[in-house]
Order: sequence, then C-alpha cells, then structure tokens
Amino acid sequence: MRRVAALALCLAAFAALAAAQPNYWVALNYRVTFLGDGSALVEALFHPFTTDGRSLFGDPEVERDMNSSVAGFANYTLLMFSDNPRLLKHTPFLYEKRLHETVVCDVANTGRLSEFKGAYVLGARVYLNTSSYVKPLNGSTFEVKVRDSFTSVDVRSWIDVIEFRFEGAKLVGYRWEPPFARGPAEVGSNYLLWVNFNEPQAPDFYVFTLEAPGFAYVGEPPEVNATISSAEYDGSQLRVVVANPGPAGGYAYVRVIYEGGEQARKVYLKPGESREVVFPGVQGASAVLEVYSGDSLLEKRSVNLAATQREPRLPVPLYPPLIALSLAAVAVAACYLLRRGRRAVEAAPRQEPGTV
Amino acid sequence: MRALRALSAFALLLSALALLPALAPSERAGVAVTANVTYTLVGRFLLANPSNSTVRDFVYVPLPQNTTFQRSYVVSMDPPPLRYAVDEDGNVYAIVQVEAGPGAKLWVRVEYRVSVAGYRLESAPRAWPPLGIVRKYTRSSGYWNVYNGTLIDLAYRVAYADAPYDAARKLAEWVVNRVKYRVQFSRLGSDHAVARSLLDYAIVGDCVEVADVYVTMARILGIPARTAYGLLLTGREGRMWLNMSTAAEEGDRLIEHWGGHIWPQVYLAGVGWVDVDMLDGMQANVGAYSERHIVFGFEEMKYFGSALSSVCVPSYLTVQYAEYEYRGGSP
Repeated sequence: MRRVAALALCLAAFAALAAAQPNYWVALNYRVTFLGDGSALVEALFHPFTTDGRSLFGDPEVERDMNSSVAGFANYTLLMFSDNPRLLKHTPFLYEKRLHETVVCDVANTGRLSEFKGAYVLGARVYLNTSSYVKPLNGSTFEVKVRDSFTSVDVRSWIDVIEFRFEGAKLVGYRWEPPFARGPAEVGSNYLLWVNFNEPQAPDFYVFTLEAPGFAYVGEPPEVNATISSAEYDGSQLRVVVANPGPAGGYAYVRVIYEGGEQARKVYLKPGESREVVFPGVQGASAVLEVYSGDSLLEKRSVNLAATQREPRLPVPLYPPLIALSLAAVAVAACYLLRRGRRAVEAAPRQEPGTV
Repeated sequence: MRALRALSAFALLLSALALLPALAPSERAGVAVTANVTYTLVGRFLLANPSNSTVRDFVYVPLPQNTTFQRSYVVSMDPPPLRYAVDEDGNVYAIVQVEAGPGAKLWVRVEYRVSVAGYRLESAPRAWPPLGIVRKYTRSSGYWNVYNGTLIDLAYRVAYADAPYDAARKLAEWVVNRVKYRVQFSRLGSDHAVARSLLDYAIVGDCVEVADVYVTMARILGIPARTAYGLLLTGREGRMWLNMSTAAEEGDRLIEHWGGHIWPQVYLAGVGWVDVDMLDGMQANVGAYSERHIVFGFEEMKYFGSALSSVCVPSYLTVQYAEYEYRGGSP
C-alpha cells in the first residue's frame, strides 16, 4: 500500500513532512511469473482509495494523476529486480485500465482484507540475466532477489499482495528477508502467494533459487569498449592511459592488483577520448591491470613494474663539481675585472678643477 | 546460589552498561579528534488523525546511529518501540504502534544520549579504494544521475585529480563557491539543482541540493560518495522546532529555528568515510567535522534516497509539530 501525498515529500532538512498531506492511497497487488528462458513477466495492479476505504477507481482527477505516474510506477517495478534500472533489459511497459480485475488490501490496518473491483494494470517482461539482483549458482540455476521497492523508497509503503508463479522455471528453494516478516499465505505446486496486512509483516526481499533451462547470465552490459593505451611506473605511481575507441561514451573501471593491495577508479570516457589514471603507492615487481565496463572484463594485462619504470619526474640536481667550477670561474673573472679597472684608474690623467 | 549468580551477572551487566556512555568514540589513523561532547537529546512529535475513523498506525522513528565518531543510546521512547529494524542502507530505526480516534492528536516522545567526536584529517590519503567499493558507491540513482552530460563535463573540468583527496577537495571548493541557498520543499536531485548563469554555474537549493550535486559529481569522478543526514546543532545547548502548518510560508527563515541537515561523505582508502559538510561555515570541509553534528542515517544505495531522513514517519497519521531539545557536556 502506498500513500500518495498531495505535494511531493520534502526530504530537505527534516522538514520532510511539512507539506505532506495524504491525498489518496493505492492498493498494490503484483503477479510475477518466472519463465524457462530466465525472464519474468511482471504485472502490477493498482487501485486508489481514500483513508476510510472508499474506492477512487475511475475518479477523473485521480485517474489523471495515476496516468501521469506511470513512468514512476514502471521505475518501481524495475527497482524490484535491480539497483540499476537503466541497465536492466525489459520489454516496453503496457498500461491499461481493467474493470474485471480485483485488488485487495487491509484498508486501515484492521487485520481484514477489503476487495476493490477494477485495476490500473502495468506490465512488462524483465530479462533477469541483466539483473543486479541475480546470482548465478551453477549452469541454469540461479538465485534471484525480488525487492519490495515501495518499502525501499518509502519505509511506510509495502506491496499488499504478491503472487509468484513458476512456469518453465523450477523453484528449488525460497526464503524472505527480514526473517521476522511473514512467510507465504499459500504454497502451491507452482506458485507462492504472500498477503501482507501491514508493512512490518511484509518481507523487504523475496529470494528464490530457480532452475531455468534457458538462463544464461550476462550481468550489466558494458557501456564502452575501453582499452589500455599505456602503463608507466615511476617507482611509486602507476600511470595508466585508458582510451575509448568506440562510438559511445560511458563509464569504465580501471583496476590494479599488486603485491599487498588493489586500487580501482571509475572514469567517464567520451567517444574517442583517452584519460590518464594515476594509482599512487603501487609496490612490488609486477602488477595486473584490468579494465571493466558494466560487469564485462574488457582487458587484462600483466605489467612488469621494473621494466616499465620511468625516471621519476624530479628536478635534475646540479652536479657539485660543476657548481665549484662555475664559482671559480666567476671569482677569476671578478679578480681580472677588478685589476683592469684599477689600472685604468691609474692611467687616466688627473683632472684638476677648472681644467675641463 | 543460582539466584546469587544471576544477581551478580545482572550487576555486572548493569555496570558494563553504565560504563558504555563513558566510552569515547573510537579514533582512526590519520585523524585527530578535536572535541568530544555527550548530548542528551529529547524529541517530541505531535501526530494527528485527519480521518473520520479510528486508526492503528505504525510510526517509523529514525534513531541516532553508531559510527566511528558517534555512539548513540536510546534512553526512553514513549510509546515504547514495537521493534527495531534496519533498512537497506544499514540504518537502525524504531517502529512504534499508536492508536488514534477520529480527529485525535497524540505525542511521540524520545530521549537519546549521543556522544559525538569532532575530527580533522591530519594527512591526505592518496590511494584509490578497491573495485568492490568503487562499484557499489559510484552508481547512478534517481537523485544522483551520473550520466548527466553537463555535470560530467563540469566534474572533469574543475576537479579531476590524481588522488581522491585532491579531487574531493577541489570539488568541495568549486561547489561551496557556487551555492545559492534557498530552502526547497521538494528534492530536486542533482539534475535540477545546477543552474547556468551568464558566466558561471550556481547550485540552487538547500543542504539537500548541495549534497546531491556534490555526491553526483564525486561519483562521476570515481570517488565513492554518499550522504549522511541528521541534525546540525547551533551550540552545546538549545531547542529546535518545526511547525508543519507554517513551514512552507516561512521559507528561508526556517533555518533560524530548525537544524535538520544532510551532507556528503566520501570514502578515502585507509581512512574510511570522511565528512564533507561545506555548509558548516561555508568552507570546503573535507575531513573537518564539527562535534555539532548528530547522524541519524546514511543514503547509499536506495534509488530515491531515504524517507527516514524525515523527523518521524507515520503511515496514516500526519505530523503536525516536531521539536528537539539538546544539552551537551563533557563525556
């Protein structure tokens, strides 16, 4: 259930709730179907209502507000499967108003479910092999976390009812977090149903181990095709130049692993751009340099630190004998000039007053 | 005999608990503690039921956290907490259950003891953090869009440096010199907080916008960054209050009597999380942290920040008024 405020919540300076008067509430029911190819069909059903439980389904003002919130709701849905919705692969979202659907929730925390007829439905297919919440276990078996993104965004919100179906994907095991939250209300041969009467009872994460024959983990796709142009070591610092020869800009991670440590830096590279990354305090005889973008390792290279060592960029010290020789030359020149000057004074005719 | 043993164990536990508040926050290498203060902090929040029916509600109360430079204790809470819980970013909060009849009002009262250490970085660390930390804390989010082209260009132009501390410092200098302070009643996110003027850029907003812009640009530069939220006190003793019905019309005058605050932190290898509160004295305070801060939580991974940065969060009820009274002394 989600409280929709009349004005956006202000997180500023603890003044957050200054303007937050509730306008209406939304009952949130979800259906997630895990398929054999490693994707999941997600359908979100929304039904708006007042604090005292009166349905606002079809109310023109609320409907306008709901329609303008579709992008936000789509984001919430993607955030159920990833920390990084930008990189999660999915089909376009479809949004429609369905009169025959039923949405349920506990309206005023009374412990009783109310049924609402009609729902605004938002659906898409999400490819779990690009999800940051998927952990490949072995072969076609993986663990997937489904987050209650509504709780994550606003601690007092939660998904009222969520049904998980397994069609083509085999459920190997399941759990939920935190452990004090309630488990599923119904367990079927190919489905699990959670009914959450309030937020503390609702899990923050639903975790499944699945076997899907078509699943092949990809991870976050690369943003750029970066390469190492050069690596120079000056005795303590490793200077690495990374280049992006590709047509797209994006982030790359440059990592150095050396005796007793590792360092990494993320850099943004525009198309055709190169950037120097400096790693201070690198020690040992050799190091390993890696370049990643997304979850892909783009380049891995061993660096012989002794061989790549360049003279440190220090000011060249003056050679002491050279200084002594210069000083001696200056002294000789000074003596010579002094003696010549004195002779010239002696040779010049004395000028008497009045004899100009 | 068994009763005696139990009694002595209980006495031992009590004495250990009594000793706990005396422990100063631990210190870190390369960091000098500049002050130690222990505050008694009392909060009162007035909640109202605007509906025509009786409501049993859950109220989420953010708590002062335990950090390297802060030790916090809940002395009392009325009504008592139903449960303590931890959010995705590791912040501990309390859940209180209340019941209010139609139109009724009620108070939630909390008392904390918080020991805070101010500190100063003594040496600037030079190494970059490991990949796992960089990956985790440089991600894009709803308020920290690291793909914003303008912010990418600006970050690399004004603050790219070989060492993370140098980059963090350059960035703080650039940001603090461009703040155009204005109390904001909705969070803009870094995308909408930077305005182009004729000759330069300005960061328009309050502490939230300043923190969001700094964190975004730090993440763009590859420096792990997050925000800390809580209170910035004006001295050792005082009172701050917030009337929700007048807050909007008060505008910038709000900060004369309210000290809710949010500020950035950067992760420096070998030191850990370092505070960068530029609005405390309007300086590039990278690793210069006053003991007037009380941390209630961090925003790290959540895509849309944290609702717990609010003073207290009821579900059905509304907050009408909030106040904190604090008194600090030597630990």
